[in-house]
Amino acid sequence: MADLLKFSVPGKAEYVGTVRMAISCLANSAGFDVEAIEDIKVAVSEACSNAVCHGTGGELCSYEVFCELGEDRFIVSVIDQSGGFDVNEYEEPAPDSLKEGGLGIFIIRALMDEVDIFTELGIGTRIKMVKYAR
Amino acid sequence: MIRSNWRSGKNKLIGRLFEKQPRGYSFREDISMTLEIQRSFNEQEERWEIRPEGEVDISNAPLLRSALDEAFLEKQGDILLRFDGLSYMDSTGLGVIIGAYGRMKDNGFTLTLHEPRENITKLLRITGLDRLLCPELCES
Repeated sequence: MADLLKFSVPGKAEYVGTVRMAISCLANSAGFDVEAIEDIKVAVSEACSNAVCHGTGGELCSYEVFCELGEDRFIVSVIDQSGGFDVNEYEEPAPDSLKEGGLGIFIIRALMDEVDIFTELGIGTRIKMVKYAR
Repeated sequence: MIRSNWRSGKNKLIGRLFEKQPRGYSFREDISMTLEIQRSFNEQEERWEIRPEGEVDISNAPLLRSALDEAFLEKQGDILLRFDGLSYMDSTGLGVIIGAYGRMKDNGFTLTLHEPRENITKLLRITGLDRLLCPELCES
């Protein structure tokens, strides 16, 4: 059976680093190689930054990070209740007209093996990311 | 030199998180990542050389933004970012660099990135920023 870990994190920017450290320890103990650990670290940080950025309640909100350590995979879900975002307004970043924001989701998709994003405007966002052990 | 609230890395986290107070230990709220930024103007090359050291994430990316902006306001010239001391950066840092690159370009100056580590190079390649910011990577 997979081991489950849950973190509840205040929606403040300064705690993203704490989550990143915890996640990289977990990925390391699960036996991932350095590159995969780095991928997981960045992807989870991006998801947490997303939860912090889009937090309409600002610093009053907290978000949850669920980690599932399976035999052959590491699943991390970042769930916030800070209002979600409009998927229709999300644009894939274009290399020739890069903007300051909007790279996070793109990077998560590039680094993880499976990514599911559920977002509901007015409610919140859940980003589920899977990395397979090789 | 610009310095964020943490000087010497993760291994001091616990010591800094729980600082001794007269009535025991209290939790320190201020735990953003380490980032030190050194900068100097190279008169010969007429460019800024800026070297961030540590980690850039959502908690301290504004620090990198102000370092770049302040340097440029102080003296106009190209900017060379030395990344050999940067161990971690995500899209928040990339966003700051994209913004600065755009402003530099509008003013007729360049911003280039030197010696990023492998993990950061990977992000630059994924986002296509390597072609824009690190010609040296594309040549190799």
